[in-house]
Amino acid sequence: MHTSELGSASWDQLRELFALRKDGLHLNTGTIGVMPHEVLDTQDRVTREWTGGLMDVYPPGMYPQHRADIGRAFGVDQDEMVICHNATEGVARIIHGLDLHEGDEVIATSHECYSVLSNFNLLRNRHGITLTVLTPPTGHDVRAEEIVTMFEQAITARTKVLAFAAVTLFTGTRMPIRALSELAQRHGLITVVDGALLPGMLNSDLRALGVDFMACSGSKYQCGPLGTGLLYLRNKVYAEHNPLPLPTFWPVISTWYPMMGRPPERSRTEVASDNIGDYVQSAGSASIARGAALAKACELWDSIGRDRIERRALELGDHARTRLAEHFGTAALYSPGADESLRSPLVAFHPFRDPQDAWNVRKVAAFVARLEAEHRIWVRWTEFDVPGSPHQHYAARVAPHIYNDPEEIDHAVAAMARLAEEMS
Amino acid sequence: VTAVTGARPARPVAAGATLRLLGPGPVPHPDPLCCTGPAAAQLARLSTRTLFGYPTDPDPRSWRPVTPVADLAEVVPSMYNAGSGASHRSYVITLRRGVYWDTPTPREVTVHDVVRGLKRLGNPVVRHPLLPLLTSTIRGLAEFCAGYAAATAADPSAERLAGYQREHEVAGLLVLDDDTVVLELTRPAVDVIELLALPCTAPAPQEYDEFVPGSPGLRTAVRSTGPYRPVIGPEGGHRWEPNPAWQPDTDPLRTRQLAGVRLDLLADLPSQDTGPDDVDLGGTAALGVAARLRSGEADLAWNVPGGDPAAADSKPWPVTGLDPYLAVQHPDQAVRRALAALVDRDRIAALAARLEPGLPARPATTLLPDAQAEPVPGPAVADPTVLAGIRLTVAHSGTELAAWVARSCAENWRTAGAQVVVTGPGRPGPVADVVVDARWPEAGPQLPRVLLQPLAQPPGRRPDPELDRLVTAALAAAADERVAVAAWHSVAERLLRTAAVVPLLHRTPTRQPVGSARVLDAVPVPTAGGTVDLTGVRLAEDR
Repeated sequence: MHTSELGSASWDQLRELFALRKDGLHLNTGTIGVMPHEVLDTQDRVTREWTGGLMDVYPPGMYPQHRADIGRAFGVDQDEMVICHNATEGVARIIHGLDLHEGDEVIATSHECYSVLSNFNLLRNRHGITLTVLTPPTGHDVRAEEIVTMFEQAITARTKVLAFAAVTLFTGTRMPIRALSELAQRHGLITVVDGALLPGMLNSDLRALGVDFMACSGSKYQCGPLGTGLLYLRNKVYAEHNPLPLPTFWPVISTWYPMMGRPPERSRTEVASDNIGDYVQSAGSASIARGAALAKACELWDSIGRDRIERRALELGDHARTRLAEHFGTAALYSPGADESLRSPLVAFHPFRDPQDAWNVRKVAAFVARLEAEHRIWVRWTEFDVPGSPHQHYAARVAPHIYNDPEEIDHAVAAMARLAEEMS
Repeated sequence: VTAVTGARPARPVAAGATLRLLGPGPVPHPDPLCCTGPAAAQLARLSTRTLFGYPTDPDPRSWRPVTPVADLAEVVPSMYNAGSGASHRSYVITLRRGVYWDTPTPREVTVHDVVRGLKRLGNPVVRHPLLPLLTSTIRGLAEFCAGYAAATAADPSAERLAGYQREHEVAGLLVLDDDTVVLELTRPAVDVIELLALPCTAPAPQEYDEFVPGSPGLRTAVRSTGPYRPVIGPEGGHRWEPNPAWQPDTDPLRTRQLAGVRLDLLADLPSQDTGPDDVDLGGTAALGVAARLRSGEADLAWNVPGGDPAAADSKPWPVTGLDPYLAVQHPDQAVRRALAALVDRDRIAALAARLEPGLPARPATTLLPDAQAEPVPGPAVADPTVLAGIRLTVAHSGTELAAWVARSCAENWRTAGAQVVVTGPGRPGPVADVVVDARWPEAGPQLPRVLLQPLAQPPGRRPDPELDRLVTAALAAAADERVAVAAWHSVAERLLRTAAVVPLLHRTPTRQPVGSARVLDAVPVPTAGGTVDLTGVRLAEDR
């Protein structure tokens, strides 16, 4: 199919783009997406092009064109976009680049990826910051205002950073990013967003979201190769999006950070004073092939239409949510549903009749394992805290994407219902 | 007598040899609930496995022997194997398969045994001194233990105790199946794995329900999960024989190199009627054992702290004992402070150097060995005249050094006019005003709470709400290491300022253990006070 045809191709036709396994049903894009054949081919081709040669590998490792192209898709410029190895690396480079000192407070949630919490704990040990961890509400009826209020009530005079996921991996809650960004701006705070699940799922204008930093995966909903990620750093001040001055940032791991002197003062306007993205991007030899493959995945997404993809992914998520609610009841859902703004394609639910099985990791893990072994359906289980409960809860999580269709979801949910009934 | 080490040249190993231990008694009861202190922990390792445990390393300064690994458990639960979550308040523990009790028909260890072992901690008969570590950590265990004691203290028969355990649950212990238990915590704790490596948390088989904890009947009915099992000899000797139910491939921490282990008790301890400065060096336990080792009557010292005094010092091990210290229960703070001010640490250090010459000692004015100076009450804040005419009882833990330290302190206090009676361990009577004891931390040095909380909250302690508040604050700060350490220092300061605990000596092993020339591979366990791992010992053929 020619690139120009992608925007009008049917979902059945687009499904053919992907290197899907024929022997199973992939409903776990929250962990890893399926690469398009063209992405695989790009990675293979570029790997071969750069193997055994005497070419200068360093300039292409800065990915100037890929960063510009990808940045455009997310509403930002090349100097604000970095191709990194994964969301975890991006998160670490953001957190350790923050100018935090003893007594400064960071507010995060217990539903963050562990890499967020471990790196902030490192700062706590290293610099004496305070880390306040909130447990966000869960369930079908959760509303965005509750989440914003939870953060707002935790802010103190010493708070410097709000850290949250764009879409939480445990319950698939699409956090109210813009509302939290505005909250942070009202209090003069830095926003650090774990956007691992965002690219390829949501058609987002990162600048308009108003956040300061976001680390993303390239291999989940964006369907790039494993070992790819995107890192956004706000490098300009657009008053309508975020009028706060750019936060002081130390680009740890950098080849091209000045070896003498210091970079120019950070911009206070819509014009960049420096290419901070280059400082972060320059980190020794790069995987040129993987970067090219990620860029190809993004190019395909642009051709299909990111807005169209977002609608389809959310529709599939809604379809799954509806079917799961029919079979298991709304009370079984950990993921939001009543507030449309919080919905994502990821839906976490409790499969068993006995509510106490929600903290039976063995049973939930067995449920997921049997779905794979007996039905060739891939989902995953997640673990998280629930406000007011002394238990750690476990849930099954489905995460469809555009290569799935409603019939597959119907089939999977029916199989899950039968298996859950048997195991209950 | 030689210093023994794992780095010896290869020598022929004696097949079917029995290791002969020698040391001063008493021998601890094999019930895990009675396992306190390094000497007991050393014996427990022969037959008692816990969920987690410590590997040995020929170099005790290595990080390995202070880092717990899975023993009965399959893995150490962590965020990386989905065994714990971001809140650090829930741990999923799955048992390793193929571990059996040495019951007549070997029966696999299950999580029901794990839960039984933890529930037994609440019995009112044997209250383990480390219980506060666990009741402040495991959700619902404090309530369970309080209810247990209240319901059974008046009639603690085996039947009533077992009945209470059957009919009541610990809220934070969720049994998922025979192999898996979820442990929920009251609050995050960075040392939960270390706590579950304590011998007192060992699983207990259903057979223990027939006995009162620590009772004579249980002594002969104790069951093993380790490579050896205890045999109580008809003459009162103590022996361990190979446990036929033990499978080496299911035990990552122990081996079995011996046909058996025998413990002989040293008789003829020096008279305690002589003054502490008149100790007959030829009659001390350490030197008595050394003489018997030299003559070939025994292979390895037991319950004799310290290494070979003839061996060269090496770098300090990653463990320091507060040995000895005074736990002062007298209700009057002025009295406590005066008692603290009148101890003579230099004299006690000299005493320790003579009694236990292989264990270097330094006078301690702090509880934590690496702490900056803490407010130990000295002459400036203590008025010794308050001691005039008061009556004091002083008990000790029963070791030779503790007995002499009790006498030494008593002499000092008598000079201020106090009437002091020194009692031995286990004597009937009212609770002593002062107890001479030792505290060797069961975990690495980075976990101050393991050392301090048992000092702050010993069983039967007089009430101190401010101290309890400080302990609670320290526990609540566990997630923030720097805040937690500072909070534990506040606990230590409170103990010192109120003279509830009086540190006397810090002792850090620096030498190799003592054994006969037959002993090979005697590797110390830092978390058991540097005692030798008996499950790794081999014996060379006689030359």
